[in-house]
Amino acid sequence: MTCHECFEAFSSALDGELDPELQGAMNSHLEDCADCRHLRARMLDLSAELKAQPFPTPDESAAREMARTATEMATTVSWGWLRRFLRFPYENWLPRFFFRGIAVTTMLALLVQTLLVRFVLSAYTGVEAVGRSGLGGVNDWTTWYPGVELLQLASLLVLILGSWTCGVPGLMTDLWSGTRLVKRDLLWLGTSLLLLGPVAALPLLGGLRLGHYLFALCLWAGLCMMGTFLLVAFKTQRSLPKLVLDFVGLSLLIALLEMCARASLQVDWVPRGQELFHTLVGNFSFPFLLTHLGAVTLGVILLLPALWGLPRAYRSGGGRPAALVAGLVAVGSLYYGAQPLQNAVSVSTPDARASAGKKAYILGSRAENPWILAGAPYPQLELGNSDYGSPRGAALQVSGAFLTWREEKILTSFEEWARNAQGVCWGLSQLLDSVGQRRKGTLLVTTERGRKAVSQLLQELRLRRLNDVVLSAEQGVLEGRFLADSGAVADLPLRLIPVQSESAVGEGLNLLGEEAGWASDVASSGRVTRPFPSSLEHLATTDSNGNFRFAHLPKGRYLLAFLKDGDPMYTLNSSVPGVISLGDGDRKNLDTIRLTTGREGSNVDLSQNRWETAGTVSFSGNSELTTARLAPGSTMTGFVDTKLFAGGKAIVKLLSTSDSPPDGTVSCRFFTRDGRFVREWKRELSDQGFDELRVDTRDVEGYLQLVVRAGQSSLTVKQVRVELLSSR
Amino acid sequence: MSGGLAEPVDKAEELRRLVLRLQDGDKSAFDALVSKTQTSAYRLGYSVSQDHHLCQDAVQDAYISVLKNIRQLRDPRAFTTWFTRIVINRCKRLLKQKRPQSLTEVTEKEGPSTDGLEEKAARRINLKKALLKLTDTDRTILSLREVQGFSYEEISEILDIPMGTVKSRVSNARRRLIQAYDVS
Repeated sequence: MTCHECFEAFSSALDGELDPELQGAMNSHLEDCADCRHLRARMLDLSAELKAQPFPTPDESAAREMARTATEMATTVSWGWLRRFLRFPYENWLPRFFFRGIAVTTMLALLVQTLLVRFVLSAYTGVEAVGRSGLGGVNDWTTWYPGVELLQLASLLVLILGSWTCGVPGLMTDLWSGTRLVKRDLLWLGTSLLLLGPVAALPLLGGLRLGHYLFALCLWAGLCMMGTFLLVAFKTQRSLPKLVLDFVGLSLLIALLEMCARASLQVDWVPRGQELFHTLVGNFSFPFLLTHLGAVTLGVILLLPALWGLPRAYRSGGGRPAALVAGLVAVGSLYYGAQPLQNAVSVSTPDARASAGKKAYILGSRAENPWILAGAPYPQLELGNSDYGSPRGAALQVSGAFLTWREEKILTSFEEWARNAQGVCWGLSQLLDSVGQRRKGTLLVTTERGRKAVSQLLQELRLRRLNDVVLSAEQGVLEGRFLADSGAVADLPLRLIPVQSESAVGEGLNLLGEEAGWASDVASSGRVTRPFPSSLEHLATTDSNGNFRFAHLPKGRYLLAFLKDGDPMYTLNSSVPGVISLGDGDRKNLDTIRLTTGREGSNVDLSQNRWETAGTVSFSGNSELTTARLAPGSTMTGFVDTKLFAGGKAIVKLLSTSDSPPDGTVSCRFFTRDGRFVREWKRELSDQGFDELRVDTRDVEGYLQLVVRAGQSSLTVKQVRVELLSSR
Repeated sequence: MSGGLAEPVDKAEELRRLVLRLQDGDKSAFDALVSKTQTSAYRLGYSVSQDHHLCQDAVQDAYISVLKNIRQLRDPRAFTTWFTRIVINRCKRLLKQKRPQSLTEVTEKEGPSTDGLEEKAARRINLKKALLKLTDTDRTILSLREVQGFSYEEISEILDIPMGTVKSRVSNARRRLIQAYDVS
């Protein structure tokens, strides 16, 4: 065994890995070789020395710290690509330039859109027409507005691209990963967010009040400042004195912002130039406006060097002619550019004056109680002298015309509008829709006068989606006459209300109530904010003889309504048709409709009223008495308005004779004004020939329906009276 | 296994369970795993690198690597071998990037300070100097054998070399250590 082999052997022996066969050879070599013995001793010493080396011994907290750090770093390192991606446009000039370009372009587009939404499109809400020389493409105006969602996406794009190119996400990841930052980076972060906030909130401006927008900006600025300060305090090495100074400055700024925020909440700025703008857009073409806008811009551009150059030219004595020329050109350009402004009239908004003096009445019926005359309060906007100078004034004018139910007044308002309208107009198209039926750009009207008026209007104005007007080809006609106690009712505004259901009084009343609410809104707000609630296409006015005529009616069901000042009326005229059903091309002539003013305490008897009958009833009269003879099983029915006895209690008296033992009933049914059945009083006829029914309507106004029914034998009714017992 | 990273059987079973939990996504197992293994990992790292900071970095890198790759360990019982290999590789990589303190620095920083401990401290410094004169491979195999107490078979497995090579490398490393120590 060589010394080398021996060393390897006792090395293995030291580790307990020596082959037992080599043990003997090793031992014998060691006995003979002093060097190997020395080496063995040295090796044993060094081995012991190695094992006795001091080592760092971490404790339990160090283990936790090690685990935490390793966990964090394992997470952080795995997102390294994301950090590089987030920092990409910030650290490379070409993508930074590219993305910032996109962001700035989008921001400008957003700004223009916001201005359009805020100042133009909001002003055009409801705009239906412009002058013939005005801005074209009226039908496409609404397409300018891309929708809130798109605006929000665009603002989000600006926010993302802007913050990306400003390095905001990279700084965020640095913050997250615990990296210590320098103050400059954090100030850059805060400033970027501060500037991006208002841009990102621009779409809100389209729908919010300006004050709310400013308030949001103040809030945002405060948040950015406080966040930046906190980051500077905790993530940088800024010294304490400087931090104190920063805090003082921040406090002052926050206080200032709070004042601004409070003040901004009071801001409710409605641009006063809107009506002027409408006038401009409605009356002048787009090239014209652009030319003048260019002239104004040129004037402003030239005016600045002129104002700056003239004093210098005065002092130095040179350049005076150039400055003078620039000044003159600037003044000329401004004068030329301002011409549309000179032409645009200043407008004043007329006050909406409401009067509740009129009532609309529907001559309708339910199947069980015909002849109901239902009234509804119907406020009216008074038409003043022509004030078509402003869109709002025009809207109020046409609204007033709408509420008069007078076709000639409405048509006159068309003509006046066409002559005097400045700029764009509101509500006109709605009004046109209410006096006719629109079919794909064509308006069907029911009178020749209406056709002429609308045609004339179309020559003067350009209306949205309306190009032509024609007379309706429908052939239905409805005629009749109104008669009051004092004679024929002349000049009474009438209206046929198309209804759907059989018992349509409620439907008609609802419609009138809706119109009344609409008119109240218009009167209180001074502007038309929603479309006309119903249609006025079937209007007529009674002539001096009380005759009326509706022509060009399509088939359908109608309620006849009239508008009249003064006391409420009632009628017992059986010819009042209730719901009028008109077939295709029908020509229907209604009987005379009799309107009688009710008087308190009036009696009702056979001689004064007309009765509805079922079965065989014959009326006969002599100089003293009118009688009605009812065949067996027949009934006679009449209505009394409780206005007669002012509500409360009354007695219904019936004087009758019968051929045989009395056989029949007298009943009295009470309905409210809207036709709702409330109560019935009924009794068998007595053999005395005189019957009374005591009625108590409990002060509720309505109608009493008197029904006299003959039994198995015939019955002769000599007199029916309703006598007042007490009044309210 | 006889000591150091080579854990007794019951500890090996505990380690196996911890590894299984960690593979199932239980992060709390990682804390326990670090607690169980960091002392021996520090010993190994320090004995290989002979540098405290470098040892810390290497061990931390090794734990990060464990976190990232624990799911690739098919046999949880082989965790000790696997982890030891990782620590050694991290140490070697860091040693390539940054050499440990020079001999001069060792002398200046850790030179004998008091008379009573003079001889012991001198021996320690000489040993450290001698270790620093060795190659990374020699230091590694000495650390595995002398400090960690791995058997030849385990060392063969960790370093992925034959048993005979382990035996000769251990022997050669010891011989060179004696020479280096005597010179210093």
